[in-house]
Amino acid sequence: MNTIVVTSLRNSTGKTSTIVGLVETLQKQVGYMKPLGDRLLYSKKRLWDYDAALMTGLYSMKVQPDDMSIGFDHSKLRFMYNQDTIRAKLSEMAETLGAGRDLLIVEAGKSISYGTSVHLDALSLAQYLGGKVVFVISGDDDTILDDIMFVRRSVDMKDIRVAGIIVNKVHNVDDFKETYLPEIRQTGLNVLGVLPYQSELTYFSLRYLADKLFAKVLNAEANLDRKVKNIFIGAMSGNVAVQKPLFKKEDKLIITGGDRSDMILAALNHNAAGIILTNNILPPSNIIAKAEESGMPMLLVTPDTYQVARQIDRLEPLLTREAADKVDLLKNMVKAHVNIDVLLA
Amino acid sequence: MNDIKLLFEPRSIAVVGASKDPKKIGHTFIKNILASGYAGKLYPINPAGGDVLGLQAYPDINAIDGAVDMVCTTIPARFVYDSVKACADRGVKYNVIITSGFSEIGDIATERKIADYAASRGMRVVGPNVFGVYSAEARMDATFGPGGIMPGSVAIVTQSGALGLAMIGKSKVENIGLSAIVSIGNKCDIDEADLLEYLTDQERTRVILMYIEGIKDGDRFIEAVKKATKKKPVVVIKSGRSERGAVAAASHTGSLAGSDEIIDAILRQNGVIRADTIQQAFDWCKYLGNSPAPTGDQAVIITNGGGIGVMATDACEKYDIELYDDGKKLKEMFSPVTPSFGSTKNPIDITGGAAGAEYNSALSVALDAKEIGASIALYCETSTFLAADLEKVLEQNHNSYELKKKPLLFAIVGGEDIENAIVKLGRKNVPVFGDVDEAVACLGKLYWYHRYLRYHSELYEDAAVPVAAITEICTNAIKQDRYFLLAHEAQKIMDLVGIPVPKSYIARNLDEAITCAEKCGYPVVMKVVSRDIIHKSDAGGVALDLEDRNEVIDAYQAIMQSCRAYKHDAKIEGVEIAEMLKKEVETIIGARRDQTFGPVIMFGLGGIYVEVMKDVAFRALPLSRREILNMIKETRSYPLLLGVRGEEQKDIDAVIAVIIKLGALISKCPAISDIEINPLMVYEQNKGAKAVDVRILLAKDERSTT
Repeated sequence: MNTIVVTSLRNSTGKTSTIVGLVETLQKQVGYMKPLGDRLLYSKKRLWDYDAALMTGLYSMKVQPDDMSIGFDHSKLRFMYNQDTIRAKLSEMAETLGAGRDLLIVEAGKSISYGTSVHLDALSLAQYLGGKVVFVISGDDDTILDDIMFVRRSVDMKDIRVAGIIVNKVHNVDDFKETYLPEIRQTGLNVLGVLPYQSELTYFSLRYLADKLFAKVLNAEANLDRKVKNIFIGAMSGNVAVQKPLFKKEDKLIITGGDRSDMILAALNHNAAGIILTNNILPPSNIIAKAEESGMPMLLVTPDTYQVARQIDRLEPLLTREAADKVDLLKNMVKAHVNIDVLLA
Repeated sequence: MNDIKLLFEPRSIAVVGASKDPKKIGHTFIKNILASGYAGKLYPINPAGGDVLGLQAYPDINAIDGAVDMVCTTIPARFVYDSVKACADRGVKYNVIITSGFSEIGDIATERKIADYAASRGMRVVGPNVFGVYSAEARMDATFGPGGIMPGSVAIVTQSGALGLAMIGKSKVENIGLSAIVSIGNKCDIDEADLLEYLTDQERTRVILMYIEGIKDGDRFIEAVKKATKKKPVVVIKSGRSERGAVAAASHTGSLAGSDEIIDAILRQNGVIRADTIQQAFDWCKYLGNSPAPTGDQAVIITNGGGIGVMATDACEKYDIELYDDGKKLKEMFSPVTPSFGSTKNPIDITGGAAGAEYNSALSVALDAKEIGASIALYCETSTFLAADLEKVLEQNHNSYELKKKPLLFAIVGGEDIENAIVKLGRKNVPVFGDVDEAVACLGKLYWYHRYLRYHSELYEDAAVPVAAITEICTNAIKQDRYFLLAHEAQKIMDLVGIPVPKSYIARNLDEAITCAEKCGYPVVMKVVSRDIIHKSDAGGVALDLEDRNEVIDAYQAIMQSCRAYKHDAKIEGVEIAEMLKKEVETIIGARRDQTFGPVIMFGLGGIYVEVMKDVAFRALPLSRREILNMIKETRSYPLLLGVRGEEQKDIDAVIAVIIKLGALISKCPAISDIEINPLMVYEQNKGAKAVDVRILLAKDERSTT
């Protein structure tokens, strides 16, 4: 069984999306694990990683997402394991999760160094499991080059095998290839592919926002899978807001205070995807009834508008198992732009 | 300090700005004072000299020989300070500054200068920006109103001059005589509390009506109003809301305590009747000023129509009037005066055929019945009982009831004749209303006020508070530049005042968390401890019902990660491990130091939806046990404490005990600005209550800790 360890130098480079694209394209039996979870979900006293749950959901894996991660917080890992026991635990997991599979994909933590102190960083994973490392690198062109050069010059790869690099979220693939690929190839690192930036992959669903913001869903729960493509802060009166170009766009999310009935009504009249009501102010019941009637979900949160906007700004737009269109898109992107044979070699 | 009596009963008045010109306010003042029959000395002051309405004008205050008790200043704003200075130096006792153009338009400095100088010379100031003072006692109309004020027994104190003048006019239409009317305008010195001091003890005044927009010194106001309501009814129209926003407060109590809710609770608690409209206020003042006290707790309704009787019954429930309902006794009393096809159940339906004799008989029965404390007579216009006869019957019965000092009021509905009868009887102070709700509301307020009088003298509850130990905890937090207490500090304070809290420990790492959980005994609750995370649930900082070591490990990871994601720069001190309590009725008790009214307390339905449900009641401290119970009963969720769907009653005494202790804590520890217990888990009777989560905020004023 082949094992690959997918890592990145920075947070949110698109490791999980790339993995989904790879699994879709490979058409093989693939196992997955994420030993050091970093997208924690906790409910009914169960703890699992979002990405692990996504993979089990997308590919009907029989294993529980809780069993795909050893831990989330360093404190737990330090408390329960040392280098030897964690290595043993990893091997045991790989054996279980990789049983009967053609390929085991191990997703490392949010950056290449994340987990080093608890022996779960990407290089340790590759070393302990004998896997090949795939770097997913993204950012602006300069950042991509910097990161690649850093990998070449500063990452000690003497005990590990490197499958190559996948450059992700590139706005102009042809231009990038023409301008930078020759220089990158000179480093000796294998460029497996260059994936284009797709704005469709950056949209949130209202459900995801509700989960992340610990929001109370006031109505229209059935419509929580609506996409959010634009965000509008309702800090002016409703009649001024409706004149703004952003307000006229489709799939918009409005963030405003619960006492701003004018803004809520404006959102209702302009087909907003949903609305986040801040400061924990419940709107009047006739407004809730109106929103229910029109099917526009309203999410009630405690923080103020500024804090909520900041929280949303920091959120990663994650893939959901319901987003079949995004999965298809990823498949097509990987198929068109990545040399996957190396991974199975 | 000058005797406030001299403001209402001055021996001499000077009007600065008195004028011959009838268009000038200074002229109206002299005219009204003379017309009202004022017997003291009156000095017009005008630098031009001459005479004003037959009185010699003096060039300035110093030209007057005798003492001057009161000055009315009617000159333009730019001259006021010098005039006030001269009056103060001259030894004037009260200066009523009619002139406007001070703090109400932003000139706070000049107004402050005037108040300071007057205070330095012992002169009291009314206003600026007022219409003056009317006092029936001194037969003095020192206002620029329309004149012709009818003397009587209602005193009006108003912050709005224009509304005050309008009320003078309305009082005439409503046939309400005034004992006094004062506008207090910008309140640079004299405020409601000063005026209440006089009006409370003045015999002529039987009811006080106040129009208030804002209260500056809440403590003084409460004290004054409390004294007043012990002697006579006080009706308040309170409008306007303070600038304090409710949404941004750090505690639930803060965000739920809009100033109006607090004022409303405080007014009620101190026996004040709050009216929403001027008409209501006038109706209530007139009725309360003229009606005897109810002679018993239960009332009777006598009606000639079923529908109007049902309306009155509904209104009685709305205004908390208990109806006498001993069916056997009612039958015994009213059968002889009720037709066989009528009803002797309260409302007593003497049927549509009833005329004067039937009303007289039924009302006499009610008057003589000692079980009945008050009567409401209803009449729908019929051809058998005409308006001309009705007037006589109503007046006669009113007089009989007045003689025997039992309240009676009428609601009569009909055409033009009936409306005219209402006006005529109103002029004779017979309490007749054209609407059932208005009539019953008056009786409701009368009952409410007399119930207040019966119970207000109860002792306030108090509890021992180890102030020094608590202040030390607060001071240590402030030394760390922290204006709220961490969970363990808050719990320590709960221990010190004797409020039960679940067993809990603070763990600084996972290792300690496991040890603490085992010490506590499973199941346990885990909560983040961080100065930067106030609403823990919203940050994913709470994990419940952890039943073993593995669940503790998972919860610890979840809390740490969620809280860091919620606020990446939050300083997390560790986690609190507490025993997991059996879920029962979750209540909230909050106490805070209100900027205007001092310590106030809140009780309501607790839990995470407290701000959504907003089912809370407020009171100002201190409180009697009965008032605490009233506060608890005021919430919609009170039945939960009584036990619903076959559940046992909860330990309400334990809730009262916590309210008393929290009240004592906020009152005696100035270092604390807000305390909130949410939830306070209330168990079945005799099983107590436990403060699950306690939040304490500290006062930022450093003096409070010394």
